[in-house]
Amino acid sequence: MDGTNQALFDLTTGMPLIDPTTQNGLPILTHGTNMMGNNMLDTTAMTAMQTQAGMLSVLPPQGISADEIALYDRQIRLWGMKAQEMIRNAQVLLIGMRALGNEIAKNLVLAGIGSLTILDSEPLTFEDLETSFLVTEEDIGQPRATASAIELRRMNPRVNIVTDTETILTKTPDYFSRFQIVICTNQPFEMASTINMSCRMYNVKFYAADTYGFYGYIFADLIMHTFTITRDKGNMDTKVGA
Amino acid sequence: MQRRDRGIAQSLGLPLTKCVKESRVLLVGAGGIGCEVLKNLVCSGFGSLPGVYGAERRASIDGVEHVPVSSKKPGIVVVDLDTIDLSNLNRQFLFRKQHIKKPKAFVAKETASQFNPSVNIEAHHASIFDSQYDVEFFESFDLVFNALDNLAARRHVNRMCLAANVPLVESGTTGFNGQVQAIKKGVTECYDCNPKPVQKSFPICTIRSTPSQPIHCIVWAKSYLLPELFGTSEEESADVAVTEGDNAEEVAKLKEEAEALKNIRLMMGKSEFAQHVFDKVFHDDIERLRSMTEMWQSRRPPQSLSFDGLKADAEDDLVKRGQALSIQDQAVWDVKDDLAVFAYSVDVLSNRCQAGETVIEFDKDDKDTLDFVAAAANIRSHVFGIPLHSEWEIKQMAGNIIPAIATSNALTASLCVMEGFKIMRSQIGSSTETLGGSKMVFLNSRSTERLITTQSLAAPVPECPVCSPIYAKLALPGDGGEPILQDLVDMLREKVGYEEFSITTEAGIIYDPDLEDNLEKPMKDYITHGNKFITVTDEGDEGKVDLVLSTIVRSEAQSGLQLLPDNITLPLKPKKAVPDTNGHAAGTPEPVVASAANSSAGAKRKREAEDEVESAKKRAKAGKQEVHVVDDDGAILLDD
Repeated sequence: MDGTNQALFDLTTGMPLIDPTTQNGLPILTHGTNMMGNNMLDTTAMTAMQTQAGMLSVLPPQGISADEIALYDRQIRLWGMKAQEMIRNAQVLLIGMRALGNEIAKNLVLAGIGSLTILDSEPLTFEDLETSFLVTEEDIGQPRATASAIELRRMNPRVNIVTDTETILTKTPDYFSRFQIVICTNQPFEMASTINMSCRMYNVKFYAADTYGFYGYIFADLIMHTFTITRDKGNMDTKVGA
Repeated sequence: MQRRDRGIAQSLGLPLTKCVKESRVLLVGAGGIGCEVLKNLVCSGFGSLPGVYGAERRASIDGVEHVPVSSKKPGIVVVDLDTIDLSNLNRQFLFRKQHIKKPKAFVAKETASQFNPSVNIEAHHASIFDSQYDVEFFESFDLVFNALDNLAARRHVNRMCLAANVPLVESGTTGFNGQVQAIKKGVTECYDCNPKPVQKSFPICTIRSTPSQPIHCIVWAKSYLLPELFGTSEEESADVAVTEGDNAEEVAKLKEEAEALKNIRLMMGKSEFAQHVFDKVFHDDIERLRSMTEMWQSRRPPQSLSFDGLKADAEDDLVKRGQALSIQDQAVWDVKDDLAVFAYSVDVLSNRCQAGETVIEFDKDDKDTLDFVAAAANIRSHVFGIPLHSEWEIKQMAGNIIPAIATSNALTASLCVMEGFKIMRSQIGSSTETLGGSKMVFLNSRSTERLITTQSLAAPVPECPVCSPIYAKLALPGDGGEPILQDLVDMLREKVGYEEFSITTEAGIIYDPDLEDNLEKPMKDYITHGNKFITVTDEGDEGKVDLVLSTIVRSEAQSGLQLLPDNITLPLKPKKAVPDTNGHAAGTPEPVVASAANSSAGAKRKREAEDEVESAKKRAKAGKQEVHVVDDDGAILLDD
């Protein structure tokens, strides 16, 4: 399945549903360090058991503290400790901080990604207030990126929020290389397309999205993405035929 | 001119925007879905326009003065009984770390109010079951949103909304999935039209004699051992039930075992207490089970353990070691570790008991009880050859924790408010479709096809005991006049045309053709006002539908009882429907959706039609069992 198809992904985070056995499309090494230089645990040595809930029981990787486990408890119980570790290391770029950007940023920050860079050079306007719940009237005139960063940091102090108020026109392709995922909102087709190409050069996954009243779209270019479809096995055999 | 509500006005149009701004909505629950719904309601401007309410204030939209029609005071009312916990913060984004332990409703109001200064939010830190939330309370709203996490509350709100005849948007999320469904009396199915899955309970013999899964051992520790030692041992647990399959002799033996354990409980406080408990449940009881050889003909028999044998040559202080281990809730303790934690937790719980705590019940957030249950469940698992688990995993199974993330709640909440818009546009008459075209909506984030699917809302189930009755109000005089039951009986005969009938309250039947003992009793005895109902059932041949009365107390004087509305005509109960044989969905009746849906053919509706075909196919598949029934008139049903 080539990466431009709409594979399994979480609409509002813009992130692919994490396959814990790959990172950036490459299999995670089971010993020693991975490409990011993090120490990886030897998965074969761990006791991984299927519980009734279908969870995997693994020892927490180094790095996730007990406090984080307590905070992210309910989501770790859904997608597992490994996925949370990957989320924790994720570097994401979000372009555009209007209605859609507010929602995406909220969801990414709550999930506990490693760092969120917000790129938006525009100042906050009165009309933005209707849907930008991260800011208030006092922030009018301030750059949208920096104004919304304040509330995002309060929402989850663990996430590194970086703001960039430069215009996107000044960004050369290598700007995008430092991210694993780029989410491009509110951009016209040509700009989104150019950014997509820059991302491709550096093997960075790319989403474009926008909303228009009740309508919206999400486009995904994950370049190469493997994922697993799991199905519950029935209690009874499925009979073949009518 | 700059306007803050341009987006919503452009999307909804001015009439619907006005309706939204003047609306009064109730949000039940300020948790995962609640926080997101509240954000959506506030940003969309619900209840943000102070309308004409009693006084002569006029409001202006687009410079045109207008007088709102409704007498309801615009605003959003939020009710939630819970307080904020750390584990909420991964998704309930209106709350911060400093808000932990504070009431959700209050903090939600505080944070959300900042999103729109015109909004009017009222927050209640209370249970929706409280008697102040009566029918008149619910009647004061244009729309109710459920953002609950339990069946009982959902059922209750469903009933109150039916009684108040106010539309309800019901919703729920589990992990990656979510669902939204609008409910309106007489138009759609209500929440109870279809049976909901009941909480699972296990046969007593599975729990006490033949466990085969970790959950059996956990329920044993949580619902048997813990209460026997530290709780009220008489209580019956909802987890365990004596079922038909259970051997009566075995059940009797199990009772004996429990009795013996009660005696050991008397040793609490002595240093050998933990050892005695251990040897009783993990040795003596196991040996007794082993002796029932027929039980183990096709099963692996349990292997008993002894306290000393397991402790072996461990030199260190068992309790101290247990304490250190209990911190490592992610690790899977081996059986010796579990012994240490068992000893430690028994020690801690014993101390609590002796310090005056008469009843200690399992609470997933009470670490001491969790330690005990985890250790005991694991030891029992070991005895029966079942894999062991970490305390973290056991907490989920024992505490019925449902995994939750922000995005499912965000998506579901958006769908809730979308459905809310549809209902509102039907209220102002700007839609010809049923309930404004509202649908049942499913979110399935892991679908390999569509993330969001819809299904037409079904018509009410005719025999549904919750939504088929006619609901009315019974007004009691506020002062003077002590109406008695006879007065109600007389009024029902006169106003509603009943002949033979019975009257039931929560307490049971208070009147029927054979029960006239209570007729002289004052109505006051039966009115636990607020949100309880009185049901009148027709005992005659005609079979009118039930009449369900909610009671209100008038502040002003009135002559005797009053029925609101004053004249009620009760329709007859529907006869049992015979399945139609229309040749398509063989043997299963098509859901009778209100006629508007049938007339919605057309290119635009193609997707909806596909959905209906899909669901009709599903129903046909589900009904396949009935396909080979020969119909009364001799026609033979054909398979598709």
